[in-house]
Amino acid sequence: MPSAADSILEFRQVTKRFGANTVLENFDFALGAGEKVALIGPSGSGKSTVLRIAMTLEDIQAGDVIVHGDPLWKNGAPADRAETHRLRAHLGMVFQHFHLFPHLSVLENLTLAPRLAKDMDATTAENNARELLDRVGLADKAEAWPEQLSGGQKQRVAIARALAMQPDVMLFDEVTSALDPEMVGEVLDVLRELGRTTDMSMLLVTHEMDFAYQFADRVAFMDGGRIVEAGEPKRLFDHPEEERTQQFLQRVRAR
Amino acid sequence: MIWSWDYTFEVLPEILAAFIVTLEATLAGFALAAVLGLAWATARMSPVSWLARGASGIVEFVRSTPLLIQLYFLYYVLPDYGIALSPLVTGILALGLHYSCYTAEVYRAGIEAVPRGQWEAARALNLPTGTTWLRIVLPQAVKPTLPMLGNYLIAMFKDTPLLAAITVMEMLQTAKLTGAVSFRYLEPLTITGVVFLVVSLIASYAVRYLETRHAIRR
Repeated sequence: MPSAADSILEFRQVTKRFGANTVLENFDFALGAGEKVALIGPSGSGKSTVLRIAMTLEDIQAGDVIVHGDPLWKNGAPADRAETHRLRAHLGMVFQHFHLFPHLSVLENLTLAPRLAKDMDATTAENNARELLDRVGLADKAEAWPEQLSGGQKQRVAIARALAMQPDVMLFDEVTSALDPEMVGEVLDVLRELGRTTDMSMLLVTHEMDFAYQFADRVAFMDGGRIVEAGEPKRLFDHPEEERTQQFLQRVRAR
Repeated sequence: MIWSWDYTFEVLPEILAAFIVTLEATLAGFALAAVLGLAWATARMSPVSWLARGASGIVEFVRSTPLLIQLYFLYYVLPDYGIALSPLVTGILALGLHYSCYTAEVYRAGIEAVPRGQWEAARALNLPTGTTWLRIVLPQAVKPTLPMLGNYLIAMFKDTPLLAAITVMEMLQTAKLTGAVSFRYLEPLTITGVVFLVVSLIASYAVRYLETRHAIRR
């Protein structure tokens, strides 16, 4: 595990409850600069909650979340608005259900936030957006509306939209789970290309075990709100040490 | 009393001229209701609790008291506090305020219908709260409410005769005064009713057209 010094996103003793239900308890995790980590585990194990806390979509009851050495959450309390805004700019997130803005064209989906949250001028924002669309193979869809796209195309636009904010950490929350099987590949290809050509840190929650195996530098198995076991994909998948990891991998392989 | 066409055509221009006043009151009142309603709706959803509670209180209060009393209040009581407005402006203010409390509910339904994912995507893109409201949530919230807003526009149009009570020379007041001069009320009142009927019917069709078009686009 990377030490605190070179970690870009770090959870320290984070506890998250939904009412009486404790989702994360004293959760510790660190993502290194440039590292690609896959979070795997049964549903309800708290994987997505980890990403959502980092993006400040959920609050926490205790613990710290550190981005680039500065607290986004400290002792369960959020940083002030300006600091949250500054730190959140390091993070980008892609959702299971895309959440494209349906009233904006594909191009506007990509340029809105850079212009209004980063004060980028319109021309630069548009040039960047077209470059990114080209990169995800959708240069010809700039003027289309989200409702005209397939699920796979929507998710590629959503990835480009997050990249347009130039984050250095990307959070992927089950980005292929809502897709028809034949569209999973095109989205994973985009992730692979990103992994090859950038040094962005990536934290992805996924059920695609083969993809995690090939793609991640490190795989963390979560269950019951904790990381049960983490390690290089080869080690974790081929020689899991913990019994719960073994059971889980057996179950998903049996499918 | 037998219907007189001669008299009908004599009073028709006067009443149609008064229709302009009715129209002014409706459109200006509705513009006010549309904007003010949006302010109430967003204030009610504010995390600032005094703002949310204050807006809720005003909306409940206005909805629970009759428009006619509000009209009289603004017309007869405000001048005691040094605010003397013309009858028409007072009428527009009262209509706008009264209906803003209904449009607020319409907007609220529209805002609540915007999926949570839209807010989350906006936050993940680091958009400031104000920008999220203006550029992401409201454009999606308002469009589906247009038919409902249209219905309130028609309802408000049909409430404009109440302004006669504070001497606004809209259609009903004009018909009444015309009738008082000649002691013939049949024709002016009938004309006034027919104008309301025709305009309301046309507007209802327009609203229904909006509804079906929206249904198709969904």
